[in-house]
Amino acid sequence: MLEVNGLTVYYGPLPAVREASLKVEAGQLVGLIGPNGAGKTTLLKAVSGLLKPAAGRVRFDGTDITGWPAERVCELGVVHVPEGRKLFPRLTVLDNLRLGAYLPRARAELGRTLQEVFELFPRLYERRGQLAGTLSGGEQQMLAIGRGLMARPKLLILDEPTLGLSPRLAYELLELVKRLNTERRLTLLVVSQEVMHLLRLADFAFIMETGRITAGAPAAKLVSDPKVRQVYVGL
Amino acid sequence: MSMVWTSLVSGLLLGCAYAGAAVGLSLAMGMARVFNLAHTALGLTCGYLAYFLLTAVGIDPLVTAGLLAPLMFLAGLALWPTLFRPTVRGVADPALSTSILTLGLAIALENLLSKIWTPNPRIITTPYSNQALNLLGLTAQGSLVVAAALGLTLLLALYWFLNKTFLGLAIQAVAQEPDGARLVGIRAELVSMLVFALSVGTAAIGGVSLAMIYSFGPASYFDWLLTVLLIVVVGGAGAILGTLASALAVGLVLGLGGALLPQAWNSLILFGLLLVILLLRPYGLFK
Repeated sequence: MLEVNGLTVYYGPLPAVREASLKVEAGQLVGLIGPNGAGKTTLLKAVSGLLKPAAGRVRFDGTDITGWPAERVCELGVVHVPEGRKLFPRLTVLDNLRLGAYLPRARAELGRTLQEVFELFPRLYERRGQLAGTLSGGEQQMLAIGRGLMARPKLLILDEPTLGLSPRLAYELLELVKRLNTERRLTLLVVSQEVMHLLRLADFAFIMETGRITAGAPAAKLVSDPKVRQVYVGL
Repeated sequence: MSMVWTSLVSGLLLGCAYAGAAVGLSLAMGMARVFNLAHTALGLTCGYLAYFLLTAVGIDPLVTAGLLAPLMFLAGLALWPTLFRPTVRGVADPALSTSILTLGLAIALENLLSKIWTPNPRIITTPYSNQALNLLGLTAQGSLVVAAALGLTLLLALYWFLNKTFLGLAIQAVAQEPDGARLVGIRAELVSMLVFALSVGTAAIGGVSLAMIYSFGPASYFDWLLTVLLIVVVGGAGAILGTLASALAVGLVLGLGGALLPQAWNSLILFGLLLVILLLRPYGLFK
């Protein structure tokens, strides 16, 4: 479904991503793990069009989307929930969600999708009239994912959805991500520091270090890899 | 006593008229990061056109305002890619570069107006201009009531548009979080252009309303600009209801001050207040 080939992306004068390649098949939940500063966020931004890659190719469902602007990538069904959430702080929860369905394809089904999102996150329904900037961290993360879902994505990219959440909330959030994958058959590419939990839920995972993808294997295999356990869990 | 009440009403009406003249500038500053110092000069140009069409063909200034607003919107659409985008692109401080550009534009317009209509002051006189209307037992000048209604309608229409339509929400989204807006599929650049054009369109309505209540010459845009900037700064750029509240306050100072104090005190009080507010709340009172 998503195919990234030999992608190089500069962030400032230095390449933050070097000749990275990865693949996400339809229906999969794919994890992308690696230490801070490895280039994960930059890679995702180059996929969703917030950054332009210097070299390499990005394909989605056979369409070459390399260097497309973010709004066109979104139109195609690749929806990026970025690190830091990028919500509209002085708009209500409801208006944030409605804007998620801004594009015609999603707007046509706004009512139905909104109901689905509220079923998934009853908390957002309770807070629908509140300004997004006044929500707690966990609620903001739910809103960010909810806004992403409003676009009716074919591929949902989540960058650090668990950042800043309590361990319990982080756990619950990843379980919910797994449910999106199994119950709603949504394809997902997820970055998270909750490495072991993510690897247990994911079908496939890539490891990124200093701008390069250094490993890609079924997640179950990586969980039991002694090197992975040593680096990421300290076992 | 009744003179105080009358000037109170006039002040509030004046505030409504100024709200219409300021709201477009607030929108452009708050939502598109453009400092359009030519806002009132564009409005004044429309005021002259309303004067010309009234005296030459007998067209009511309200009709002219209605015709000019969409034309000015189109002019705004044309100005964005030709003048503004090149000035904003790759510039560290777009507020500074657009200020200088639009100040130049304002001075050019002043000279053009001076060339066409001479520096002599003009007055728009319609059948209702000097009619004394009865408002809650108090009298108000007809042109002031009409200008106030125009300004208030414009401001409330913009408020409704920004908060109740998809496009209006998209405009706020781009102003609050441009990357987030792009990720939900909003074309941020197009939205900025639209906001700017909308702002220029409202300049026509604001300019014609001020031209209906004041005598004006080619340099009048500068006095209007000072008052309008004061309103925007106090109200908070991009805050529509804040613009209304601050315009009403300014109108009251002008109305009451005009009745109770010598003229020269007005500006002193207004800009003294501006200094205090800038020191205490530089982001505006209502934001």
